[in-house]
Amino acid sequence: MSYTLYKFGTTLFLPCANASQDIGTGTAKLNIVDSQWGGAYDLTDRHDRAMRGGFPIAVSGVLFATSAADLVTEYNKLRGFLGKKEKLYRKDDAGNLQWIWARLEAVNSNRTIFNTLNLEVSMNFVGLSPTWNSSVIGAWRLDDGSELDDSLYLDIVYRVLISKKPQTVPVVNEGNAIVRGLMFTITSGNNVPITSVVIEKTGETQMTWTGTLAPGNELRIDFGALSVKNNGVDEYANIVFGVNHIAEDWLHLDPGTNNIIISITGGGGDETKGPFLDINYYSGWI
Amino acid sequence: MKFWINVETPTGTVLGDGPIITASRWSHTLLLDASGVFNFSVPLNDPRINLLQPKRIVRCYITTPSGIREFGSGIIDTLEPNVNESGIAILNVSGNDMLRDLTTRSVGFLELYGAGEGVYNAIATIMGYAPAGWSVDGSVGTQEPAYPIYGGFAGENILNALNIIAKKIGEHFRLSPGKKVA
Repeated sequence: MSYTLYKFGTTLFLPCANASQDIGTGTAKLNIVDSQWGGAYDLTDRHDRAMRGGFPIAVSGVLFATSAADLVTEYNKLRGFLGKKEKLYRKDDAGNLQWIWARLEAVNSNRTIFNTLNLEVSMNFVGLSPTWNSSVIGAWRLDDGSELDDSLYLDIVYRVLISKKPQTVPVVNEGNAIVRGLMFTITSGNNVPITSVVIEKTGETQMTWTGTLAPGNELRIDFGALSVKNNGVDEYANIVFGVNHIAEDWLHLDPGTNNIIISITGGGGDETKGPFLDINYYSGWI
Repeated sequence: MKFWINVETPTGTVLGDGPIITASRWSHTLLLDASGVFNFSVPLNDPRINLLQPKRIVRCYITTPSGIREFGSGIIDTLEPNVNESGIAILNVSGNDMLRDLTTRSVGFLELYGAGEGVYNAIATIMGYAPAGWSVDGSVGTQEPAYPIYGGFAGENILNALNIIAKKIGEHFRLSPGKKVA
């Protein structure tokens, strides 16, 4: 299976004729110190994955046009994206879409004189997202900037009724990379406020929110931005990490099934009315 | 290894919806018998930049295989917007570490004396004037002098009072993680 980079933003389709595309991973940022005793000391914890930073993506191809004027128009359209940050899309050979945020760093071309109907071009992007995002899991809104072909599905909402305490919630990352940008939204039911939420992942995460989440309000924990809001009000102060918490990103998804353990106090505990946990995330690919 | 910075009010309430996670560096120099210095830089367009204000407390944390550990802390004195060599707008944040908190209170005219001799709890007596949350970290060596201390003060702040005792007994002290004198 391989990938094809095919679109930048909503309107720029990358040249596919005679295309050559960099579909590598980029370079992980390592923290390695050479040892005077031989070998090297790796500062990244053995269980942690060294992540890449911004990484280069080179794309080249040929622009075709039916007239010299059209070729100028096509080329100028391409040049007009210089410096822009947009979603860069790729699809695998089965047609599945993935995207990252990227910025167009350079547009290059060497013209062959008198050749007015085609032009070899190359573009250098810098990938900004830690992983390529594939199918979204969770609710999304049509006005969030996504396009109708962004691999989103209207009816997918990963809503879990938390009827037990604690309750193990399996969360599947279909990709091959760690996902850090997931979001939890917790709501009450039965007109009973929620007073605490404990989120655990064995060996990594142990964090507790305490406070008052009124019925009808949302407690939103964004693990990508490391943000906690109770009905839009800052509540990071109400988070406490346990002695077993070692995850710098609070909570992330490893490839495969992740068992997240949730304990909610209050919120009704009714088998139909809540409390509820909504989980939003993209599966992540390198 | 990643680090993050919590911003607190002067009384220790954590602010914002989350920590500062865009800082490019953190530096904290501890000093013996004095308040150390810290500094760090964040991009000016950090969404939590407005949390950084003079007099507020910042605490840097890292995680280790054994859990979360405080890496340093301090009280913001200076906020300097700057454009670095790469043309990136950043905010340089600096100040003294938490020991400066001990300069905000005076021991007044405290007199250290007992029944016919000095006192055996000079450090605890002085630290009794400290703002809430301060303690002496006996686990790393700070102990009361083994012999009685006589002393009289005339409005010295707590840090200076500790210095006077330290000089008298030939010892030193420094900041320990949190609000502890070690």
